[in-house]
Amino acid sequence: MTGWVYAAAILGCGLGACVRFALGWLDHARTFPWPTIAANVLGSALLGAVVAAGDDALVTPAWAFVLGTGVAGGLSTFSSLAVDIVVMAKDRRVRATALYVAATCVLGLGAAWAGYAAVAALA
Amino acid sequence: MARPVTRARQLALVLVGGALGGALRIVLSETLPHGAGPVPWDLVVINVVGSLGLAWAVAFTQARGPWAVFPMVGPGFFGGFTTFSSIAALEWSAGTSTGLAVIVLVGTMAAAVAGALLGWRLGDRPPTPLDEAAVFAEENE
Repeated sequence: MTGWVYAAAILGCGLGACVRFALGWLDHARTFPWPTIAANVLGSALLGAVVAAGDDALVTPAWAFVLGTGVAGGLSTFSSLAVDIVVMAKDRRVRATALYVAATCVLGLGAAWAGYAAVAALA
Repeated sequence: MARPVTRARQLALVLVGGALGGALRIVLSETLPHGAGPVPWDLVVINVVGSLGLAWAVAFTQARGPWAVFPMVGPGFFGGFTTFSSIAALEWSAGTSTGLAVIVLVGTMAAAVAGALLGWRLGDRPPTPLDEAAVFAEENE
């Protein structure tokens, strides 16, 4: 892949991070970090869709790299996920921690499946 | 309470940090060995190291006071460096079984939480009581 593809993927990662950050502005209560779950769900759905589009040759490998590794990679995050779990666990919020872990796993895997299935059905 | 200037500046910091983190993730994932099996060890390592780094930064700013460039370092750099989607979509991108995909996701979460606990311990100097709302506000989530 050319240098421009890498440059676009890197910029896409920055833009994805901006969308993830902006989701936090919708959360006024600040008691349960659902914006991180939302960002990971959106990123997983996007990557699932990109993988399906690549399998069906709807996008070039370069675009799949920019949208998947770049945008979806920057939109989703693992570090906030880990810190959220640590912070809620340190505060002994057992039920909130369990709900957060379960929602992240179920909705994240479900979103990747849904993104893949939606594009595969269209193709 | 709209503060467009402040928010635009925060977004600019996140954009720069996210691009830097993404650049490092791409460089590492193209140089680190993937291993022969379906487990993306390079991404597991990136996520554990990034979780350690973010926890260190959050604990450090909790103990020492606000850090003007935190949006670039936290949600930007460490947020863009680590990634969830590639782990969640493993079943479709790498063709693994559903069982292995779930094991990789849960295992990566456990390892990342262990990394974050270590990072928090390293950054929490002097030891400071946790203010959960302040963490969520700092991370903007």
